[in-house]
Amino acid sequence: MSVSMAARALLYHKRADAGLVGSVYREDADKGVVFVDRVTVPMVDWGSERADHIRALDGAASGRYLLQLALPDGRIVTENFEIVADKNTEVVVRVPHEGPAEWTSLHAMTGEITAAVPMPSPAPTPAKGARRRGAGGPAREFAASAVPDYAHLRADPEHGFEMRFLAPHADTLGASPLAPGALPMLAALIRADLPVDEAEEALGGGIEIATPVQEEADYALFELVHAGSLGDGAARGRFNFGPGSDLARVYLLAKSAHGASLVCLPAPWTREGEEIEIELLLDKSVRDGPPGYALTIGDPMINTALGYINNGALHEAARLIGFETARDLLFHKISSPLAAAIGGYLLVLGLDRSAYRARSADWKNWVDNLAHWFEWLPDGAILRASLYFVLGDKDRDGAYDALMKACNRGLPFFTFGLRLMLEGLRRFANEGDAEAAQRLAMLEPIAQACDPSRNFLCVDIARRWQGAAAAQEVVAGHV
Amino acid sequence: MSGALVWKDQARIDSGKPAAHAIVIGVGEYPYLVGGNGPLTDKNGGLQQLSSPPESAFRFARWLLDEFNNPGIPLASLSLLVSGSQARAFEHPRLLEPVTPAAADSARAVAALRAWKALGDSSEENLVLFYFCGHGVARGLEGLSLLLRDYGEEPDMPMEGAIDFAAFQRGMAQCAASYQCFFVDACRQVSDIARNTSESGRKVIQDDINRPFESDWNYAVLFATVEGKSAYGRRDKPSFYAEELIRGLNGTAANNRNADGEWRVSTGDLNASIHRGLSLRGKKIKNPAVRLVEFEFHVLRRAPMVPVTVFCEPRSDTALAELSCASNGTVVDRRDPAPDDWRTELPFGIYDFQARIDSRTGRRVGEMVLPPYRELKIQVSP
Repeated sequence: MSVSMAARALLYHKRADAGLVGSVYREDADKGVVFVDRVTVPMVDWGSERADHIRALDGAASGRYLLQLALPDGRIVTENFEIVADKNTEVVVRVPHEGPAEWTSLHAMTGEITAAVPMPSPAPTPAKGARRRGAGGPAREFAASAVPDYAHLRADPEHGFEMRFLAPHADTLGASPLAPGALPMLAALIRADLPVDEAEEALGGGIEIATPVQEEADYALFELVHAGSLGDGAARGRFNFGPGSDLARVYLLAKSAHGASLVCLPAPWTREGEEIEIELLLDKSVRDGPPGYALTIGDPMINTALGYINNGALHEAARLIGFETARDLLFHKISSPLAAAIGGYLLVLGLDRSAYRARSADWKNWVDNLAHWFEWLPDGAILRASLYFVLGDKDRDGAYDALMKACNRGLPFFTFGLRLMLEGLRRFANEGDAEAAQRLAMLEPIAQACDPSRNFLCVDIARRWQGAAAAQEVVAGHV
Repeated sequence: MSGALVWKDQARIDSGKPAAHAIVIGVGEYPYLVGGNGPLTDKNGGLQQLSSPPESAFRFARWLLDEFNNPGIPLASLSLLVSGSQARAFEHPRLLEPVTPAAADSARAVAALRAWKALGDSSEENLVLFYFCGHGVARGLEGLSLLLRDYGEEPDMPMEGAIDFAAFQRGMAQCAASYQCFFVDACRQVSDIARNTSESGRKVIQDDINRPFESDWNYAVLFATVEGKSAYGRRDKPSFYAEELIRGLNGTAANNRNADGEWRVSTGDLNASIHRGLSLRGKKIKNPAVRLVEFEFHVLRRAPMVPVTVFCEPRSDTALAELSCASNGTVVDRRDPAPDDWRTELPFGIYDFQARIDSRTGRRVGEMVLPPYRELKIQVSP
C-alpha cells in the first residue's frame, strides 16, 4: 500500500519535484480529526500523469483523510481521500489558474495578478519544446483596453515606463558604481539626487529592452536572461558554476514617472547548468504610482518559495527548500548558486536555530562553500556572517571577514541580504569597530532608497526628471 | 496601579515565575495632522485622523484578558494607552473598576514601554506582547516610525512625537524575556515625512543587538500587510488587522500538530493567517525581508473557530439553494437562498453539508472542518 500525490497546474513542461507543502489529517473516531504529518508534493502540468510516492504516509492506517496544500498566493486547497488496506492511493490536487492569460500562470499563482477566469478543463500537453505563444488553451478573451502598449510607454518614460538592461563592460567597469567594491560610489550617486538622465548616464546607459515576449491588454511579459531580453533576441546560456567560477553581473534600470530604480537581476538563474528565464510581468495599467511590475523565476519551486515568502509563510518556504534541497542545489556537480542562496536565507530568516544546531557542521560547510566559491555573489558571504550574528555560531572573526568581503562584492541580489548586511555591520559597529561603522553609514542611503516589498533588491537611483520636482510620497488617507 | 498599567497579577509577578506582559497602544487622535484640532504640522504627509485604533486597542486588550492562554506563561500585566477623539473608559470584569487609559503621547508611551520592558526583565522565560495601532511611516528598508498623539506638536521636531520602532525592536534584545511578539497594526508606506529626514522618532531602549543573556532572542514582528485605507477597515470599528489577528488567535492560525492534540498558535502560522485574511481586504504590501522566529505562545481555551465558505456548482445554483450544516444529525447552521457564497464560522469538527433547491438536493457528508479555513462546493442533483 502506498500513497502518491501531485499538484497539477498550468506549467506546460515545467515541473517541480518540491512544488507545494501541506498537511495531512485523518478522521478519528474518538478525537474527530487528528494531524498525521506534513508533506511536500510535486507540482506538474495539468497534462502530466506524474504523482510521487509520499513516504510520510507509509504505513498509514485505513480511513478517511484530508490533504491541505498551501498555495503560493496564501490560499489553501483541500482534497479528501481514503486509504484502503492493500490498495494504492493517488491524490491529485488541481491548482486553479486565475490569471488574465495563460502566459501569466506563474505570476498568477503567487497572487501578483488576480483576473479571474473560469477553471479550464485539462488541456492536452503541448509537444516537448513548444512555447506558450499565441492563443488557445484557457486564455481569457481580452476586452478592448485603453492601456497603451509597451512601445508607447517606453517612448516617453517620464510619463510611461521603460526598462534598460545594464551589463557593465569589463573595460569600463572600474569607473562604474556597479563595479565590485563600488558601493560607496553607488551610495554617493543616490545621495547626489540626480535627475533620471544623469543617473542613467552614471550607470552606463545600458541597452533598451524593447520587446516583450507577450503583450495583451493590461500586461506585458518580458523574459530576461544573463545575455539580455529573450524578446530582443538574447539567448539562454549554459553556466558550469563550480568553485572559482567568475561572472559579470547584470542589472535592470526601470524608468517611470517615479524616477529610476536599479534592480539586481538574479541572472543567470540556473538549474544544473541550464539557464532559466527571469519573468518580469509589467502591469501597464499602473500609471500614477511606482511602476507595477513583478519578478519571478521560471522555475515552479522557486516561484512557490517566493510566493510563500511574500505571503508571510516563511516557514512553509523553508520546508519547501530544506537542507537536503539546498545542499543539492549547491553540491550538485554544477551548482545553482542563486537558488542555493534562497535556501540559506530561509534558514536564517526563519531563525530556525534548532534546525541549524541539529546539523550545524553540515550547514556551516555548505554556507562556507557558497561564500567562497562565487566571488560575484555577495549573498553567500552575507550568509556566512549571519551564522554568527543570527544563528549563534561562535566564529566571530570569520563572520567579520565574510561581512567585509560581502560589502566589497557589491549589492546583494536579495533584499533579505541587504537587511542582514546592515544588521551584521551594526553588530560589529556596536562593538566599536570603526570599519563596520563607516560601512554602515555608507550603506545608509542605499537602505533608505531600497524597496522593501521586493524579493530581489531594488534601489531608487533617481527620484526626479530633469526640471521636475521629486514626486511627493503622500500616504493615503485612512479611516 | 499607575501610569498605563490597567491590570496586573501581582502574585504572579512576585512569584518570579515566567509570565506574559502585554502593552497595547491605539492612536486615533492626531491634533497636528489633517483634521486635528491643533495647528497643522507642515510635515503631515497627508495623514489624517483615525477612528479604528482606539477600537482595535480595546478589542485586543479585551481579548488578552478573556482568551490569552499560556499555562506555563500566563498573563501577568496589561498596559493600555489610547488616544481617540473622545475619552473612553476601559471596562472588563477582571478590572476592579473602569479605567481611563493613559493618553498615547510620546512621553507616556516611552515611560510605559520602559516599565513594560522592566516587567519582562524578571525572567528569561517571560513572554512580552506589544500591539500598536495608528499611523506608521517607513523609510526604505529599515526605518519605521510609529506616530503618537503628539506627532507634530513641536514644529521644529515633529518626530519627537513618534517612536523609532526599528531601533526600539532591536533594543529589545536587551530585555530578558526571550519570547517577544510585536503586532504592528500600522501603515508602512514609504513617506517623505520619514524619508526626507534622518529623524526617526524617540529612542526607547538603547539600540544594541548584542543580547546579554544566555537565552535565545525569540522574536516575531507581525506587520499589517494591506496598504493605505484598506489597512484600517471601517469607521469606528476595529482595523482589519486587529480582526484578523484575533481571528487567527481564536482558531484560523491554530494547529494540533503536537501529540497532545491541543490547539496551539505559533508565530509563523499566525503571520500566514493574518496575511491570508488581509489579502481579501485590499492590495497587499509584501514584506519579504521580515524575520520571524517560529514559536508557539497561545493555547486555545476551546475548539478553534473555522471560517467556512459553501457554494453550489454551478455557482448560479447558490442563489436558489437553501444551505445547511449538520453535526451528528442535528442542523447547527443554515442559510436561506442568497446570491453570494455562504460564509460562516464553525467549531473544528466533522459536518454534513446540504444544499436543497425545491426537491433537489446535494450533499457533502463527513467533511472535516479545521483551520485555517474550509471551502465546500456542493452539486445539487438534477
